[in-house]
Amino acid sequence: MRTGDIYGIVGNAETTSLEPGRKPIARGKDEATEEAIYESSPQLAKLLRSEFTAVVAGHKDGDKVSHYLPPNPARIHAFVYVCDPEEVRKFSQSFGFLNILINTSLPVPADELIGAALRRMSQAHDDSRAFLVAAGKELAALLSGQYDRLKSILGRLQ
Amino acid sequence: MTDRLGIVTSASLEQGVEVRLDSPISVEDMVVGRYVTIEGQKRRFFGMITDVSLGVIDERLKSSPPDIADPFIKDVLTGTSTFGTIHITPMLTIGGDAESILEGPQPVKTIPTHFSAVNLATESDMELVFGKEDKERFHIGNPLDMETRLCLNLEEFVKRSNGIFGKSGTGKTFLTRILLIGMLQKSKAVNLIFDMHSEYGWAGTHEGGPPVKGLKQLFADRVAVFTLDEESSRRRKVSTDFTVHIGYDEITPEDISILRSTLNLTELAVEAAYQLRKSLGKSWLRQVLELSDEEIESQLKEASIHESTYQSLKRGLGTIGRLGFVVPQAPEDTVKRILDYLARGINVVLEFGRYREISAYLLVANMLSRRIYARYQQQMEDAVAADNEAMKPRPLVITIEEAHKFLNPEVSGKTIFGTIAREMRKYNVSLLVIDQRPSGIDEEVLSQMGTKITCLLDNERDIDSVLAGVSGKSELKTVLARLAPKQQALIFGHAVPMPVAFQPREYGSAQSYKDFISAGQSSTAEQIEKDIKELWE
Repeated sequence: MRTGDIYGIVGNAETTSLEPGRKPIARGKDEATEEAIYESSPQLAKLLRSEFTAVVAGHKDGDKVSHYLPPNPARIHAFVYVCDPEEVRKFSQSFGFLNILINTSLPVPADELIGAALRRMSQAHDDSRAFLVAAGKELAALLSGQYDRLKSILGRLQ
Repeated sequence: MTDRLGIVTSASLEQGVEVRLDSPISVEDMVVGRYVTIEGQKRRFFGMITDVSLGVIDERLKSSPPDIADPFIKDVLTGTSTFGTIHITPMLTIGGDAESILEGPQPVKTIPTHFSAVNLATESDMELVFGKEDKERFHIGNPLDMETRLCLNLEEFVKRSNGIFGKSGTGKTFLTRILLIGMLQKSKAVNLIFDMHSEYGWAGTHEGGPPVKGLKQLFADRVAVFTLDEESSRRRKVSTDFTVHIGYDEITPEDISILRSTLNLTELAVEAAYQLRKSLGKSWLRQVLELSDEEIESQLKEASIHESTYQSLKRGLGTIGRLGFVVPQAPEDTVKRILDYLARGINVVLEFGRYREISAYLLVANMLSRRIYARYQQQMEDAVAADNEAMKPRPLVITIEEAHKFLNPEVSGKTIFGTIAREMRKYNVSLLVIDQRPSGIDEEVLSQMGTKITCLLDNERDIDSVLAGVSGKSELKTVLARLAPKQQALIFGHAVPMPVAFQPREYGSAQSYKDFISAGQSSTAEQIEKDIKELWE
């Protein structure tokens, strides 16, 4: 995703109740489909909230994409967009962002995040296998002392 | 650059340079003996690949290897977590500034910096080191896996005694033939070849093929074939220039002494030969062979030679007397004939025909060489006394086979070849030694050899003795031990700036003969031009 000049990779997402501490109750026992639940209780859409966290993976400086943190944080109320494939391709020309992802701490394991991100990026490339091999090589260099971790990430790339 | 192999990761002058291969380069393409250049910061280095190995970044990869059934994992790990390394022995270096470029490659005294790029040596690199084919340099073959022509400076080559070694059947004879042609064309030296198996003069054998042409067929006007065995030469339809006979009085006790072990003589019997020479004079051998025991008894008593010693000597001399070419009186002086030819710049090949036993070879080669060497020594001394360069005799290269019989530690002090090898070119005579057991050759002689060319050797002692005293010995050893059993050789020493493994050029096809002859013609044309110039000066 992108907001302003900052690129991020979605690292976590959750849907919770608006009121902290109040858990959603299971519904739809008598309904036939999931959609029917929202039709019979339209208030649900207002009571629940979805949030996602993005790991800042780089920023754009003019035409140049840099794979390190931007000098300023994202602005409050800035609009957030999903990157189109062209942007994804441009962003993943080099693999400097992998280092940020490896060292990030999120509720989800970083290895899963790297695997998912690279798989998704590979879809934006014409030769997705070549892209994954190149990414794998970069990972192998970054994780030179952590063979087991490397092996588990590589297992998630396909 | 497309030829880049990798980068230097560690180096020491003594142990050589470690290079990590770039990921697209496969270790399987790297072969021991290949040439590479290293682009240092200030200078370039030339070196040879002497070892190839595989490395892993994490030891755990070795104990729990990844699932190689998955090509993806393999592709990712190749060149990153697992990689190839090559070990390079640097040999020469050339500085970056103009002065050192003019100076040419120098022996290596330092090492390249970290992460210097390593490339495969190109044709022009090789040319820079070994030179182009010209009037002194002769194309002897191609470096392994390269198209470049490897040229040998033969003018430099003949300045020292040289050796060609290799197991039987590895192509020593072909290599020698090529070198002889080279010397014939590109150097001022003349050759005297003691051709034990009649391989060089007219035609030679070729394993699994038709016979190949000898020197005389290619260069009729510059090669003379002498024979000890006219009958055999005639049978092989060889036109010979001279039939060699050796008179009894030409054989001296020194000749007998080097034959001691082949004739199975005792020390005392050899001693007796010296005494008989003293008391009976020049015709001692004839008298021993022709006089009856009674007739010679008084002489024996006088010289206090024991009867059994005399009989042992007589038995040994009988073997010599029975050789067909040994006659009571030689019709013509062989040495003079040979020298006449040599002085005219004609190379002499002496065929042994059916006399293949080592005693005949030792006797003839040693005897003739000794007398030729004595004449050379005399001419050389005369020239030095008169301070006249033109009076100096032409440089002579004597080719001997089975050299360990002449040059083993026991007899090398006695044979003339030991002297020639040691005194080198003081008297313009040098040796080309061909042998399959270099470990049998006296260390001192071996150490004096200028250039050594060796085909495959697999005996540890032979390898050690050939490489004795060469820098980077252990690395060259791996190269030498991995030469193909045929038609590959390693050359190192005086005439080449650095050791190189090569494949000798082709010899035996119609095209190869043409190439050999044409290489000579260009030099003859140059020679004529030079002669004309000199004439008008």
